[in-house]
Amino acid sequence: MNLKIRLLAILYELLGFLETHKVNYASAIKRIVKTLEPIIDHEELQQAIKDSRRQLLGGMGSLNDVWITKENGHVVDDEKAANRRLEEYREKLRRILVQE
Amino acid sequence: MNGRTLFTRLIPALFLGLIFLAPAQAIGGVGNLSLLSGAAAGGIAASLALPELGAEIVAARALGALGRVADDVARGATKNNALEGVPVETFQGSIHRRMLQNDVEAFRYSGGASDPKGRFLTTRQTIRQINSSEDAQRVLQLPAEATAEKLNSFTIPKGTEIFAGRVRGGPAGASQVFIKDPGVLR
Repeated sequence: MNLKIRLLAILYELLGFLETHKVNYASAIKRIVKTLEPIIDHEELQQAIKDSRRQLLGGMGSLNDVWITKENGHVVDDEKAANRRLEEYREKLRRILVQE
Repeated sequence: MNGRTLFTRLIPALFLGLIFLAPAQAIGGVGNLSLLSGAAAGGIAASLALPELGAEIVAARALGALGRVADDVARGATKNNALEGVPVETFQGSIHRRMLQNDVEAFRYSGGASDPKGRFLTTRQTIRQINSSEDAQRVLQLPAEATAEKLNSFTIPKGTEIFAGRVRGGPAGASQVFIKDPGVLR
């Protein structure tokens, strides 16, 4: 369950970050959070993590694909800083999801 | 061509050829990037034949589990940082890195949680396999929230560093292109 707590902690933070910038992808994170929150069984958690990998670490349409920019209708002043921070979140998630 | 010219021009050319050809063969025969040649058919000059002077090929074999891929690439990245920041787990087989020598047309699907501008694009050849949103999700392995309602066309400008290869889990001929900074897309 330590894994679940670590994963959810990052996802909550990421959700807040994406909502601040009005990034559509926040809805996908919200769904993953809702799926993970009630899980108490270890095997069920492993399956949920496996399922969320494609959503988070996939190609087009995944979190890996997200680029924060005004051109996408996002609310952002410093695009470079916002995308750097987004990459930090991705890296944290990658470390957890690839290791587990 | 006299003997001296032969020596000064041909020998270095052969030497360079060996440098660029040998790695290409070693990683399983990547003689050309045909996956991107569809862009040329689209009217934009895009000669992407490899090996080509100045082109760099980075092989990251996608072997089995996600963790294994990441481990392999992490080890490779220690020697060569070319793949740093590239989501290698999304590729199947070799990843081809290069600097574009011409503008290239590329495509993206958007809809649902997916925005028009992003880091992954695909090729004209790949979108020929797609006739519906469901096709796009299957071919490009889009997550459920990416509904692929709209096809967007972009130009990746000359000089951009791209990483191209097969879509992990997608059918044969499903190609993707990753760029680190979509801000360059026009």
